[in-house]
Parts: sequence; C-alpha cells; structure tokens
Amino acid sequence: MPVPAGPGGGSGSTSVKLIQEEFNGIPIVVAGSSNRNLIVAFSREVNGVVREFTPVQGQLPVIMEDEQGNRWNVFGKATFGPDKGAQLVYVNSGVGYWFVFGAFYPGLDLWGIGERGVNISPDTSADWQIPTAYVGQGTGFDGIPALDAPPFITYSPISIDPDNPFYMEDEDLVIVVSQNGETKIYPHKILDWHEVINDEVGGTPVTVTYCPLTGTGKVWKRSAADMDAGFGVSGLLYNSNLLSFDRATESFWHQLEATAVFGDRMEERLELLPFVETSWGTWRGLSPSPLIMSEETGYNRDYTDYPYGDYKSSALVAYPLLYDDDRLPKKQRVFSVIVNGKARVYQFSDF
Amino acid sequence: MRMTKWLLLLLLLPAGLAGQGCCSGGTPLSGSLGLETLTAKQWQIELMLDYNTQSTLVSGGSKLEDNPRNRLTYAGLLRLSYAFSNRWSLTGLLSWVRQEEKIDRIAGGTTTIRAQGPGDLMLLTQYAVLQGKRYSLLAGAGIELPTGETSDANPDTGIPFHPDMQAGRGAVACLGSTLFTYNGVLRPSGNVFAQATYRISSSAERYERLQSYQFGNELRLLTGYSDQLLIGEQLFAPSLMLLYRHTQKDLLNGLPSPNTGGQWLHLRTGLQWAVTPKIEIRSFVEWPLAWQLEGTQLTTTLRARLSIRYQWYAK
Repeated sequence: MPVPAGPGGGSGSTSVKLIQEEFNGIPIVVAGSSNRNLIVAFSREVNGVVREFTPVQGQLPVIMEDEQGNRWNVFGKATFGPDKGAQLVYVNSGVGYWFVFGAFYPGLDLWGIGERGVNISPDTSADWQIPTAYVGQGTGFDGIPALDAPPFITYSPISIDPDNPFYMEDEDLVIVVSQNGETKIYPHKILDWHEVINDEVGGTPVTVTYCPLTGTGKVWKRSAADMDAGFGVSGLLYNSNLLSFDRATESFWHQLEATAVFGDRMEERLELLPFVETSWGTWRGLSPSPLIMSEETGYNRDYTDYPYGDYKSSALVAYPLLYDDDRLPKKQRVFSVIVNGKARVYQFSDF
Repeated sequence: MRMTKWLLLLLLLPAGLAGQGCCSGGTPLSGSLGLETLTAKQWQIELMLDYNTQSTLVSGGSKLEDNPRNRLTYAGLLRLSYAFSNRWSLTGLLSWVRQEEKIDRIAGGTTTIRAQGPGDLMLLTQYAVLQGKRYSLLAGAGIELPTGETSDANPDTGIPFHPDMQAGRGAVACLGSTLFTYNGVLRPSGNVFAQATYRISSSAERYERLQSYQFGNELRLLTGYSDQLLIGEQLFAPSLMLLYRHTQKDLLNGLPSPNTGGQWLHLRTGLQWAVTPKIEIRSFVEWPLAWQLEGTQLTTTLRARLSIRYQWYAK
C-alpha cells in the first residue's frame, strides 16, 4: 500500500521511529511519525516475553515488526506473521496539551530531559478522590450534550457534492477506534462540541471522550453497568480537564485515568481501549473507504466552527492547575504514556 | 427582516469599539441606575423585580436551535435616591440575586442548579449639567462595591459555581453615565432621550487566589421616545427604546476568555403609571433584535422588570 501524502507539509519526518524502553516497570514501545501526526504506545510484553521491534517504513497502518517476523499495525494488532491476530497490550497513552500532563503528574518525566523535583500533596476529602480546589464548574449535567450512537458515513471523494464541500479538511485531527474488524473515525471537530460519544465499534460498547480544553482523547470500554445508559458531560473540570458522569449513578469520571473520583462508583476503573489520533488527511490515505462520523448529528451546530476562539494558540488555561510546569509551552501538543500514576511525555519532534 | 436588524445594529455601532460575557446574565446593576431629573430635597425609594431568561444559544451571529440550557436570573433591587439640590443627587442600590440554570437532560427530565445571595452595592452621584426649558443633560459617576456573594457552591458537590452564576462579581467597578433629554417632541408631553453608560471592572480573585477573573468592560447606549397619556383620570407614560450593549471579552489571568464579549441590540417597551403623585408603578419588557457575539454564548431571550416607586420631599 503506498504511503499517503502527509498533510500540512511540515518539517517532521514521514518515517516511523520507535522508542523502546522501560517505564515504571513496564517495557514499552512508542512508535510515531511526526509528519503523519501519529504516535502510539504499547507494552512490548507478549505472552510473558518482551519483544524487540524494528520500524516498518512505507506500510502504514503497519508500523513495526518483531524479531519473530510479526507485523504490527497502529492499533497494536498483528496483521501478518505467526502471531497474526494477536493484540499488544495498550498502554494508557495519547496526545494532549503539555500543561495538563504537567498538572496531573507534577514533575513528570519529559523524555530526553528527565523528571523535575516537585513535591505536591494536595488536600482531598472523603467524598472526592481528587483535590476539589482544582475542580471548576462550567455548566451542569448535559449542558454540553453528549452524543449516543451517532450516524456515520463511508467517505468517498467522488461522492462529495462540489456545492456542499465535505466538512473535514486534511489537517483536521481525528480519533480512530478499531475493534473486531470495524474501524470508526471520530473528528475533533465534532468532539469539540460534544466531548463524549457513546457508541459501539465492532460490537464493543465504547465511550469516546475528548476534552477540548486539554486536547486529550481517551476511549473507554463501557462496563455492564454503563452499557445502556452511557456517559455524559458533567460540566465540571479538574485541572481544566473533562470530568464525565455516568448516567446510571451520576458519579464523576477522570478522563485520563478512566476512574471514578466522586459518587457511588468512586475508585471504580474502566478499561481503556487503544485508539489512534492523527489527521484526517493521513487516515483517509490509509483506508479506501473510511467510516467517519456524519455531521448530521441531530444537533444544530456548525462543526466547521471551532467553539473556543483562539484557545488553541493562546496561553490561556481556563481553570486552576495543581502544578504549572513551564518546561514546554502550555499548548504544545505532546504524547503521554501513563503507567500506575506516573507519566512520561514525548514531543512530536522526538519522532 | 434580518437585513433590517443588521442595519439597525450598524447604525448604532460606534466606530473603534473593542469587544463581553460568557453567559451574559449577572447582576443587572449597571442597567438599573438610570439617571433622572430630581429636584432639591427630593427622596425616592424604588423596589424593582427583574427577570431575565437566557435560553437563546448563539454562535457568532447565528442562533443554534437545540439549546438544552436556560439561565434564569431573578433579582430584587432596592434603590434609594436623595437630591441635595436641583443639580446634585446621590443614589444607592442594593440587590438580591437568584440564578437558576435549567438543563434538559438527554435521558429525559430537567436538572436545575441554583445560586443566590446578596448582590453588589452600587453608589452613584449625579449632576445636572444643563437644565433648559426643553432639555436637560445629566452626568453621573458611580462605583460598584464587591459586597455580593461570590462563593456560592453546588450543594451536591461542594464545587463553587462559575463567576457568572454568582450573585456578586467580587470586584470593584466604576461607571460613568450621561443622559440627554429633549422635551416637546411630536407632542408637548413627548420627549426623546439618549443615555450612554460605560462600566469598567477590576479583577477578582477566585479558586483560593489561584486565578483572577475580570468581567469585560461594558458600554450601554439607550435611546428612545416616551410620552404621557391621560386615560380617564390616570396618567400613563409609555415608551419605546433601543438598547445597544457592547462588552469586551472577560479576562482570565489577564488573557481573553473564549465565548465572552460581543454586541447586542435590544428593543425595550416601557410603561409607567402614576398611581398617585407620590407612587408610580413602572415596567418594561425587553427583547433581543440582533447580536454579534464572540464564540458561542447563552444570551437573553426575554427580560422584564416591574417596580414600585415612592417619592417625597424632605422638609
């Protein structure tokens, strides 16, 4: 399969680069291509054995090969080789604005630079797992409407009406989720307005979450308790980051850790599912008929209009931060790996 | 229709204005301190009930049709004025504010969050610059003191509400206002008037002083026509007004906050009834005609006020 043209024509590399190391006791591989706007991370341990990988160039979505000849794609799935069909264990990871990782994991490890000595012990209460001094209220439950089972379309450039241009541009970012052979694309453009989407991918009940104030996406596997009701937007933000609520008990859920921090389900944890965040231009070059959300969501919104003005480029952070790490610009998009409460951050320029 | 709205907006657009408020509710203080002619040793006391419903979600200049939110502001305001002379007077304004946000839930039903408490205290001094037979020019300067509630919190979570849900603004604000009135227009009892008010806000600390929040400065231009009608033995004064309002973006830690600031053009109809020489009942209803807002904001759908005024002279 030919490698598609990268969007934006940036100065980064179009080739895939791997970083293989151990983080907080877990052997991980971080694979990325800066110009493809794509970084993913997985555990290197397969059936108790740590694999060594080499990058595969020009074969996206395949990104790496192990010493046993297996080829692995961006979702950590073996697409060729003796372990074909096997799945690498997803490591909690994803892209977001630098400030949010600095705030959630004070003094975190910035790859290539190291940790910063920070000692913060915020007050918590019996009712909350997180310090409420850093929780702000924007609106109330459902003030920002989540979407349930939204409609999708199969994109084909030849079917686009020239008088009604497709709402996506090549540089627009998307969250791509693949489960059991089905792959669905959730654009930031829609998530900016709704933040939470309850859906099914390949029969797996998923909740796609995205916080426009921190630029972070996570995909949760809904538990039996949430299967039908799903999640919504609580209107609360912790460290400026989305707190979702489950509609069954109205407990609040921490987006990055997929854990309940307030309510009847406090301390319960959901399974995080692998996803790819990249640009639409990159992904549509990889798939002949990508399945992408329709902008006909049932809500009267102009999804080509970003709802937060110049927020992406301003130094503004809307709510107080537990720790303001000034090693990188606040809104620089970085890739984080989170293992057992510790985080390591990679810059796109590392790939 | 849309063309007409924008023509009106353009006609009222002062050149070179900079840019206000997330959810543009809040305590209606600066819009409650109308300048008016008082004579020496005159006292006025007025109790006002103000209602503002914001269920219109606007993105830029476009209305979004499926808004789940409705912000309701109920305010009780008590105004006391005294004229030291025919030119000088002093006014004080106390308020109590209750705000509710009703949200239609996706799973059905409605959730309501409520914040309430004493609002800020406003003091205004007024001077009659010109006093002609057919015209007058009044100027006023005022200060808003942060006496109101700023830390009301959601009882279920303990988390403080957003600043625009609080009864008080938590910051000192200054305002200047001028009112020109010309009498005898169309009819001997008819008059036209124009009032300009500018309000400058300082910043307030919140989140245990981790963040500063400054509401955007605000310009209000009110112009209209009023007349007096004798119906039976009762004296009524209907009026028709246009209100243009422009606010700059709020500042968060000194940086412009998204989805705040913009321009509004409202139509206001008022009616006063002089029940006795000392007692008046006053009312107005206000509807938006057009807006051009920064980002996406919940904005006024309807505003109304009912007040009762009692006036007397000191001996």
